[in-house]
Amino acid sequence: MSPSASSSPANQPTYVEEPASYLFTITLTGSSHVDSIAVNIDRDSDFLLSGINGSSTGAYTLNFRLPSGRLYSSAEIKNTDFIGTANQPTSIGPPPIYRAGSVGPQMTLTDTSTSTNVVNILFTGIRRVRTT
Amino acid sequence: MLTRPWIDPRDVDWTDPLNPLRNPGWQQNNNPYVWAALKDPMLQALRQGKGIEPRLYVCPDPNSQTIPGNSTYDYEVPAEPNCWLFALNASGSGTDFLLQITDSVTGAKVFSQPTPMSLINSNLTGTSNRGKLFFLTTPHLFEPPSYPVVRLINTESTAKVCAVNLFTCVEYDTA
Repeated sequence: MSPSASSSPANQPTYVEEPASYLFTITLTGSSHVDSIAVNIDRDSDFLLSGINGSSTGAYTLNFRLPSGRLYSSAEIKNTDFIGTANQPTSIGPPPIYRAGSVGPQMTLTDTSTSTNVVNILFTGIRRVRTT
Repeated sequence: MLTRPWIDPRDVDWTDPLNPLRNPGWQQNNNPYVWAALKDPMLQALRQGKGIEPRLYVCPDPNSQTIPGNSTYDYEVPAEPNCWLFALNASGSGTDFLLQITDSVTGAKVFSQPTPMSLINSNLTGTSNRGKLFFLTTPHLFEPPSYPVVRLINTESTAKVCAVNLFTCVEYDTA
């Protein structure tokens, strides 16, 4: 398909949008640090990230990468300052769009609880499924 | 319906493809928090920026840094050019501290006077449907060479952690 053909309205791809959530789970050992852990995005749909909530058994700090590869935060932020609750997810805005099949919001985490820490993070947003 | 906030239709960008109000297939019942975040007039306005990308600035860096007792600490935020500040929150190891955010060039202040952390405490629920974020009434642009200066005032007698988090987005292409 030529560029001019792909830009005509008749050939524009169409999408269906659905609610979507990606769950990230990890068990950190005392004071451990993990870097660039992928949260793989499904290959059939882009993912628009609009909110984050989660739970943990201890304190930790975190950061994650945007679709451009840049880190979201200038430094790791405390989970208590950032991770929302199920009824009040922290709003991410303007929402970044992770492409289908990408490594998603790669996570960097550091445990500050000094003991075993089970971390669950839910990335909520919209799944954009291409239909044509 | 009476509990829903009224949004002036003139504030809504109906050309925004992410605006759930213009998308008949996307309803509040699908996911009310996504819906609320996407239809927010401020976030819609920010989405219209060219090459926009969200950024979070942790102040000071690292956030475990302590401020000596009864002292003031100014942190010059290493913000990128064309940074829009739209929300913030704060936390600390003491009972409270004071904070102020100033535009380094214009001198514009977010608060009329240093404000207690307890009013934007991240342990509280922030602006409705925004989780831990406390939204400003309108975003503030730090136009180059301007950047935010965060003033932290530890009012306790011993060293305490006084952390402020700035939720921003950067507009790359302003041409």
